[in-house]
Amino acid sequence: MDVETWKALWKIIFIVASAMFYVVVAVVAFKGFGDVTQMMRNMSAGQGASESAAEAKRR
Amino acid sequence: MHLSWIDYAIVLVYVGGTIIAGTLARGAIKGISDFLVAGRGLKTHMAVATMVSTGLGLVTVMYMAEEGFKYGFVPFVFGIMALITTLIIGRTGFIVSRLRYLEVMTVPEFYEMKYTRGVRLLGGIILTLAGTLNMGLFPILGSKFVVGFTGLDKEYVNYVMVAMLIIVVFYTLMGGMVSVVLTDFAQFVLLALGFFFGTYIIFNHPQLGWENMVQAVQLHKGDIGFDPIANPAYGISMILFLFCVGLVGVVWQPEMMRPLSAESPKVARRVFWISAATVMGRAMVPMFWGIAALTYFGDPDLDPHYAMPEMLGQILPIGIAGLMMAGMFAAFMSTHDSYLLAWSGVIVRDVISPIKAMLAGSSGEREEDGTWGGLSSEREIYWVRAIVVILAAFLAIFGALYQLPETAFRFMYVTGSIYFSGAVGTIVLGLYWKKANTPGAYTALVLGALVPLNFLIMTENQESVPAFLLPLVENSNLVGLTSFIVGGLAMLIVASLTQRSHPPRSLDFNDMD
Repeated sequence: MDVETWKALWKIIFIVASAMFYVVVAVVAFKGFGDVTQMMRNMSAGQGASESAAEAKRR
Repeated sequence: MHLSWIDYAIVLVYVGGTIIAGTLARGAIKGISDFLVAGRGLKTHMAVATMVSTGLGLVTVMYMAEEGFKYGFVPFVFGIMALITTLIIGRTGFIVSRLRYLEVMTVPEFYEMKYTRGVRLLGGIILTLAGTLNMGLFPILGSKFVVGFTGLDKEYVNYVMVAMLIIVVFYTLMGGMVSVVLTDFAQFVLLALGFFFGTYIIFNHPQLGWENMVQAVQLHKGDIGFDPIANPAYGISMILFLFCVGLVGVVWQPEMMRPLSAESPKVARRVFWISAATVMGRAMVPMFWGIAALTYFGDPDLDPHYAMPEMLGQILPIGIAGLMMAGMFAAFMSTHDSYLLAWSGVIVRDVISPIKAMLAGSSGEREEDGTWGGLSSEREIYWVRAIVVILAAFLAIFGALYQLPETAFRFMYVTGSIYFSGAVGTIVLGLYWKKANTPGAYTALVLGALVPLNFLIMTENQESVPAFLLPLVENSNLVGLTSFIVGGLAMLIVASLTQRSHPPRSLDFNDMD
């Protein structure tokens, strides 16, 4: 493969990699926020991490 | 100084919030499984956030940027290999699903299930050695970023390192893995914002932008700045090595703690499937910044550890610079907290506790609370906290005194190989090959560790290395590949020869989802 092809390839790969990264971050941040607030609520109620996990499984 | 008071205020608010969250998490710690694996209750998206944060530490940003600065666009191949291997793990659950199914908290714990307590002890010692050496450069590289970015005098680099370590140690001691998970989530979002704004401004800066960067790499590196096969520092051996590390690297304790903290083996696998989409960006964005620093300063002889942050400090506007600084602080913390916790957990559960159990003559059975007859759950938490402090002190001294043999990136990979190589035989074959047995595990661990350890020693004493071994000193890719092959072959050969004298223990995965 010649150098010009590598240059074009790296540009496409970089744009695709960046787009995938930001899309996943946005989705995970949005969906994970509920889990984080639930975890903090359990902590304020004095629940241990294992107890919270067991309760979540029961639900 | 490059930053304004607004930028420092943003950083202070973030650091203060992290400390408060970490302190609150103390209430969630009731036993060792809460402290080390957050009670095994992580849901998919939280687990992804915390895994991405850990994999994207400030040290990663620094050594990836260094690769971009030194080798141009060629290191992008690392991102591609990481994508391929993470997709394979996410699709098949390779290693992660089975280890999660066994409900281990540390990787060497598997050694006691499959082999013996002695193998666990040896595996724990090797993992501790590899892990602490590997982490040795983390604090100093993080500190170099802060000094370069803020424009502080370079003589403050060690003081900054100690101050940053103290903050991380404080909140990790409070809530263990629960603190780590909570703070990782905030860090995950901040990091992404820092990445986005940093890259956007580089793309639109009059001196930078894609075309200027391509021209700069062509000028300073030539064609080997673009072609990974032709570049002597990369080539096929490096690509193969990256593939092996990508697959086996999952057994690295800080990486493995996320799937082990997941609520089921299925979630453990799904975490990799989702985070695969981030691995290329995590590698390529910092490399892109490194190339930008080369373009901006136009001097390939500069120290890349300072060049990249100095460039960012100079081109980012007020407010965005503060956000970037907070994001990089987040990157520093998210890796250090996880690594400190992971290695301390291994030292206590796989070295100190087994020794105590051996001395007490207790049976090798796992108790209800996850202990193995050595230290009690409360004593394990106590010792993990103590080791976190000792490790942090060691890191500060090591970072201040050690000089790099090649690049930071290669140092990380060679020190990691001390453990990975033995893991090919002991964990991969232990999980998937019924004949894997104890003598094979001992041999794989010892031989796998010897090759990269020799490299580190020989690099420090090059004048006394025989000529036929010089290629191993000059090319760390060969060291990595050789050690993988040695580790795997050791198990295959020794286990095959000792099947009658040491029949293997079988593990049952039939009920696994």
